[in-house]
Amino acid sequence: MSVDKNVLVVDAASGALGFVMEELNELGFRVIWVPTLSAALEFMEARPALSLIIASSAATKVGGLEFLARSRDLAPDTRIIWGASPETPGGPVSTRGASPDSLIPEPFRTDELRAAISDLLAEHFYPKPIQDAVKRAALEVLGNMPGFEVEGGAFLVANQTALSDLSAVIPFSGGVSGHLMVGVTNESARKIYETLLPGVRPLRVDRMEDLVGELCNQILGRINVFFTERSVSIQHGTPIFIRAAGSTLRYPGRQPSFAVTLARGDTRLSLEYYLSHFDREKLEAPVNTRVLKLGEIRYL
Amino acid sequence: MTWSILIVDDSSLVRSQLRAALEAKGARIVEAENGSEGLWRARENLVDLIVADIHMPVMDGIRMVEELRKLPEYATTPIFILTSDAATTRAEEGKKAGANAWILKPVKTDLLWKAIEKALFGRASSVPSQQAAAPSPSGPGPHK
Repeated sequence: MSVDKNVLVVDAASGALGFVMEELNELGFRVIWVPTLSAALEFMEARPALSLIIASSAATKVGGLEFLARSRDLAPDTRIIWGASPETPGGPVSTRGASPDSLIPEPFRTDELRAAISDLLAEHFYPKPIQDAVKRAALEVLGNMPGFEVEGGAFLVANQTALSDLSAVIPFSGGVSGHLMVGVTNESARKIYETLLPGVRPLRVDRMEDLVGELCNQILGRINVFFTERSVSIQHGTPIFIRAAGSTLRYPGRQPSFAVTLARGDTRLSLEYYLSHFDREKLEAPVNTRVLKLGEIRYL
Repeated sequence: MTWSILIVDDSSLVRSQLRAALEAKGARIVEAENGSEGLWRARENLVDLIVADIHMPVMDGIRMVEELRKLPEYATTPIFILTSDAATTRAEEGKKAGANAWILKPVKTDLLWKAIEKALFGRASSVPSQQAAAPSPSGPGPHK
């Protein structure tokens, strides 16, 4: 896991970023608040290991260009979200080419800011190869139902997550541990069931629950290919089925989940993949173990 | 000629999908939802081929295969493992237990049917290249 889980928030004392600080804290980040850009620079000079800087226009009216250039010098990998005030909608671009990674108009819209933060921070918890493996696995398993696409990218979810009508969770352990949760509404479950088994009406809720559990099992199996190819062994636990729409699932630890929504028309399937720990070095290792490919039959 | 096939999977969805696909090919299907019930059904109905999941409650698929191979009437019956586990080490466990083939979920039923034909009749009409390189599973002809 990444160790630089620090986020620097630059905002006036009465600023608009209070909710963001709370959410980042929930996601497992250490949030440091400073009221001015000069204080931010002082902090960075002392300890530049930052994942993200979020600066509101209330705190960046003066010295924004210099701050951007200097922060890129001090911490070139640190992502920067900048609040654009109505007076400077284009945001700052320094003469040295430094510009923010994300420019968001103020007043902040919660969903927009949350999406930008999630997008920029996802790599810290879920390196891109894992993110790709999760998306690929879901699309492979849904391959019998053409037309599903990842909707709206992927995002982080704090460890208290809203449940859908039907959810299945499969824990796993071994070289990596965590769980995969798949959730659908009753209506989406019915549509998926009828696509997979044309002419069969899934009148009983346990049939639809079984569908969600099997999708969860198959998607997790495909995600695990990524680890197995790198000699990381994983064992599945027993599936847990939850019918608790409107309720929440909370689990220990302060790591966020990596969430993906797959959509085909108005049919949606949500995935939350949670890794409690992994060895980043192993994940960067080249593929060294052969695994069976989808559609391959291995005669024994 | 009607082949009888036992499908052992704790997922009713998978059982129903396989039943629909294999019945359409003319097979007679017997279902069980775990390894223990699979053993019972296999004793009750002498089937030509078995398709079994691994991760199931009560008794898992590997243990069921081990138990089936102890029965003289199932000593050489083709048994296919249908699982989401792609690890070749797990496939070796299946081989040791006595399974004949390891197939990943989600399975394309046409591909599965070709493998069934190959095992039971030795005459799959066309075989994908990755299968062509693999040795044919040994097994008896159909019981009927």
